[in-house]
Amino acid sequence: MKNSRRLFLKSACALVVGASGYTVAQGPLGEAQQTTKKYALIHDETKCIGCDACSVACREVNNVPEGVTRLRIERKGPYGEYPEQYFRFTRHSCQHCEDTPCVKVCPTGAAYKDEATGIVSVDAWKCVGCQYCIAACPYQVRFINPVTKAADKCDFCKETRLKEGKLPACVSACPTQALTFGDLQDPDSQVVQVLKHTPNYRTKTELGTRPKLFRIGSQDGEVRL
Amino acid sequence: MSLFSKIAFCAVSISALLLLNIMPVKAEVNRLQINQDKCVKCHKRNGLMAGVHGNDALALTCQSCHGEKGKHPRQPSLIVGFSADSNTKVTAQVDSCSQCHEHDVLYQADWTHAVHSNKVGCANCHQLHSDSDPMMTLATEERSALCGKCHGITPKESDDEKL
Ligand code: SF4
Ligand code: SF4
Ligand code: SF4
Repeated sequence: MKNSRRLFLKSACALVVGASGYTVAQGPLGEAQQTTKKYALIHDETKCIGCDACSVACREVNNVPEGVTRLRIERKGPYGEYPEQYFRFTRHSCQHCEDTPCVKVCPTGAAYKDEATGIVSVDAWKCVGCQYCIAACPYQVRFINPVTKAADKCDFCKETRLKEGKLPACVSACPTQALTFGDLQDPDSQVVQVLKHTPNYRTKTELGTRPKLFRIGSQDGEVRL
Repeated sequence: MSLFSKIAFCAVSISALLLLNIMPVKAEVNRLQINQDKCVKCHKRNGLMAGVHGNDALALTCQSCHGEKGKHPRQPSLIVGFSADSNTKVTAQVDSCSQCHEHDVLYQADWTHAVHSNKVGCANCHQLHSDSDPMMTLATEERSALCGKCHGITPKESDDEKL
């Protein structure tokens, strides 16, 4: 009885911590992790116009072959009556989960989370193409790259733009500044500021994945210029 | 429009398209019926129709889209203008195109029609007088860039690069 109660309390605490996710400005992993970065991305659906400039830029910069993609903007609608119609756009790409189902199932260690940045990546040369990670990812964002034959997905442009000290390609390409990228550990970063001041949500948090792709929910009506 | 005349209209449009593939030659354009219109006497440079809409088979006149001349050019008129500096209201411009093009059909062709229909004139993207409409051959990258022309908030060079 006592034991089961303790277990209950323990898991309840874990649940609360997990659910609160990144109550920004305070790193979820405490002091020990303060020197490392924890990159996150915000997609502001109230600003997104579904222009696909982000996915076009991603393909070009990261050399993603046709037929597969690291990033897709999902369009729902039209809502409302003609001529006052509008759509809702949601971003479909890796969420850079803190608790990574894809990494857990990878038998070769090809799928990994970079502890210095929090970015979830794939070591293409280690990947044997078993597709366990593709099956395990609850967000269905992984695919086999037809050229490298390895699992592939968004890596926050770790090997391309970040290496050059630049923002991810999609963030730079977005004409409406619907995307905000930055370090959750840095209380002055733009992501932290936006998350602090704007209601936001993440998807499938109930699975305990603790995704680092945040979304600002779309609203009814047209996107204002 | 009855179903039959709609089908006939489409058939004519398609054959017009096919015809025009071999027709953008200048001499041919000059010979088109629409370019014999008296408007062309003044509007030779900007008025000549080389596009699909000028095809004889469609039997469109300048007035079909631009409306009646009224007191133009001596006094103000209700002529529908489609250029960027036109005084014609966007809705009036769109109404002109909507005489033939139904909004749900346009939506099927491209979803962006649905969200611009009373905000942006068709001619902001489409060009009818030139021999081909740039929208018909728009590459994915160009298409995104076109959205950014109106929706872009900042000049791209400024703040985007630094991490
Ligand atoms: S979204 Fe999928 S691929 Fe990305 S870290 Fe989470 S489980 Fe892995
Ligand atoms: S962060 Fe980079 S890899 Fe990820 S979707 Fe954006 S452009 Fe593609
Ligand atoms: S570039 Fe920006 S506005 Fe365009 S689809 Fe992507 S997120 Fe939305």
